[in-house]
Amino acid sequence: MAKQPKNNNIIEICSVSKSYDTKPVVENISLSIKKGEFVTLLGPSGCGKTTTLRMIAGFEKPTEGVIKINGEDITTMPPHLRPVNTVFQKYALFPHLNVFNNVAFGLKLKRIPDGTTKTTKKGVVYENLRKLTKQEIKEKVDRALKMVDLEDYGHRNVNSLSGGQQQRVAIARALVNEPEVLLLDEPLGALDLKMRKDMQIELMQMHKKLGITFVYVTHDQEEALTMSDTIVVMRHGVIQQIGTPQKVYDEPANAFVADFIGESNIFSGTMCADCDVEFFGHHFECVDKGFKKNEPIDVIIRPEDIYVLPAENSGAMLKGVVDSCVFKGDHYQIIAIIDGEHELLIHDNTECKKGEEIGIFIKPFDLHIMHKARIINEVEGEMWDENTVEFCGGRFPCETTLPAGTKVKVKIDFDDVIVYDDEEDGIISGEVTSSIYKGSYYQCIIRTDESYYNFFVDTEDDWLKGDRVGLGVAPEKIIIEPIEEEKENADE
Amino acid sequence: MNRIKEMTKGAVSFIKGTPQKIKSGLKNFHLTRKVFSYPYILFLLLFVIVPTAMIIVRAFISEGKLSFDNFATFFTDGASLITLGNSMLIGVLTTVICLLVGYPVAFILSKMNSGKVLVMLFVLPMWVNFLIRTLATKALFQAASLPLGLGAVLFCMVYNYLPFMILPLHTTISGIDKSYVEAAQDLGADKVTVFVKTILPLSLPGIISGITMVFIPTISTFAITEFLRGNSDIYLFGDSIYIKFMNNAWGVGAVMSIIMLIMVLISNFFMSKLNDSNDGSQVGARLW
Repeated sequence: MAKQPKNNNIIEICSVSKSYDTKPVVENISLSIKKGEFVTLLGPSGCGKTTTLRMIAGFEKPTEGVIKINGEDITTMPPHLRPVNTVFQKYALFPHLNVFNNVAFGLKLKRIPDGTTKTTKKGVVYENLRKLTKQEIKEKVDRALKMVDLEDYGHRNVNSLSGGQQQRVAIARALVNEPEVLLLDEPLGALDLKMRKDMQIELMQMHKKLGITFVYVTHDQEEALTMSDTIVVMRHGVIQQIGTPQKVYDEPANAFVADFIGESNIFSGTMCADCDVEFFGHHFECVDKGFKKNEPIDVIIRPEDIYVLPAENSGAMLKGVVDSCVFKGDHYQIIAIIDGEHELLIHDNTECKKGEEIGIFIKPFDLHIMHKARIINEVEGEMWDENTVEFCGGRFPCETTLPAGTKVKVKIDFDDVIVYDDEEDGIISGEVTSSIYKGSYYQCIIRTDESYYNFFVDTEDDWLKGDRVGLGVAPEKIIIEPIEEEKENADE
Repeated sequence: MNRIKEMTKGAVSFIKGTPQKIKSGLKNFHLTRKVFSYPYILFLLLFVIVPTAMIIVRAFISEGKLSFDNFATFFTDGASLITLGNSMLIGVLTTVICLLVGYPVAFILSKMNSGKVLVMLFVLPMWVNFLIRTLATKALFQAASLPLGLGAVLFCMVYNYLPFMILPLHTTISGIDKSYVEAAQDLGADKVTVFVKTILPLSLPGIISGITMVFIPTISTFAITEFLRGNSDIYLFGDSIYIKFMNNAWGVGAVMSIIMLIMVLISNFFMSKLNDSNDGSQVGARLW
């Protein structure tokens, strides 16, 4: 161990980006992982979490950036030389080998110093390496199989095992090599719920016992909250938040994290002053400070933080009408309509009747105030001719008289983007990558096919993730500014 | 042949028949999926099973009597046994060369995006008539004033049967899940070890089908040696069966055909055995 890093970080990912052709998958992520930590990369499918893991394992090379393990730059090191082992999503157990030989695969390739050294003519001293003996391999494999409770399965064909057993073999196969870091790529995805819960606990116990670093990839927020020391929430190849499970749940960094982890009510509001937020047309006391006056913000309220009171109770901050009340075992899930338009999701122990008027109470520190990720869509484009602007691969009619060829900044309000069901109807087409309900409307993010710009769109309809849609904008709603002016005003 | 035609005509007219006819027929005859296999079963019976039975019977008849004389004649005739040995040798040589040439080709093609198109190019000669290909080879050798003989025979064999090796190998190798390769790399295998320890064993079913597809036809061919033998006296097993039948030595010819058949059965047996031990891992190899 010549190079012991000063800090305790075993993996350092420094401004790493990865794109396939021109499509960015991971954009400029930086992350440090401490020795012995259980880190989960969490995010919806296509968020770049698996790509990040594969870059650590060495199966993908970053387009930009550096990855270090133990302070050593391993960005271009081939996978077989890295001190990491992977548990693959579909196990990837070798079908031509039995359980024992699958687990022994890595050990048979391993070379260890045999104690003697060799000096070359130039005076460089090498340690002589030797293979592990059959006895050593057998001992190690048996120990690994015992750890995953499969002692008697060594001779079995891997295809004769159940999903859970195959999973255990895959874990034993990785751990038997005593890696410094174990990478797990959605390892429990193929198991049924009960098996998954059991394996979660077993993996946590193994992590505690072995003390090695686990990097775990999942899209299951509950799994992430249960198992991790640290959660890294990702979306569109960008890290949204890094924190402990408690922190990510209680203080989500933005509306996406709040929506993705646990259930939540997300509303658009305005920060009127320190500790004074306005939404639904009401003012509320909160505990957040340091926002600009009248800054548009997102308010996030967890459904279990909302209390139902009798309508006439003097403590009620808001009044709402119950739209539905469903028994969920340990609580009732109530949807209340505030002022006839805003939906509020509540988890409470009080049973309500549909149509009943209730009072609502929220504690000030349960109102989570968040900067908006974006207030307006802003994209760079170029004037095609006097009344047409080109951006994201489409030509949009607009109302401006700037000459053709001028580089411009195009701004479009969220609710001015028109979404068409049929791709052909829009000027440009794209794919819906997320949709968050904001009480009375949905905020979708639509990634354009050309230039991969993410348009934020407020719409009445709930588009599903992966829907192909067309996008258009009314000419009078496109705000166009020449870029030169923008630069001069940049200091403001 | 005429009988077959009539039978199929009957079947077609039955299917095409008016609804009433079908309805009345349905009482004791159900138009199930099984019915559609009848023409093939009939064909199989007439042109495969009956002739095989005839050959087997013929092998045991010598001078109008039931005896093992034909077997005795064959196994005591040194020349016939040498021919059998020779054709085995040429078969093994051809198969080995096909495997050594075909495996790298199939391996490289399976890595390429345009691999399928290239495979088509490799398989394309298969659609040229076998005799034309063989005669063309002869013409090529003569044009290049290369001597005919063992070399020419082997060359033509490899040329003719290489696609039969490449095709199953390509199907199997491109069917190998990439995650196995990644898993091996992850466990510390360099490129050579990945190949030796995962790709090669996982492509075993393809190798076996390739060998079966090449070896058996090679030893039974007679046209290639006929045209490319030149002045040498290379006779393959196929040649000697042909000669025996031409010389009206039906009994011995039948014995030799049976030996041929047994060899096919043995190799098929080993192939299915090896495929079973690799069960589930390869679907591609089942195509052949």
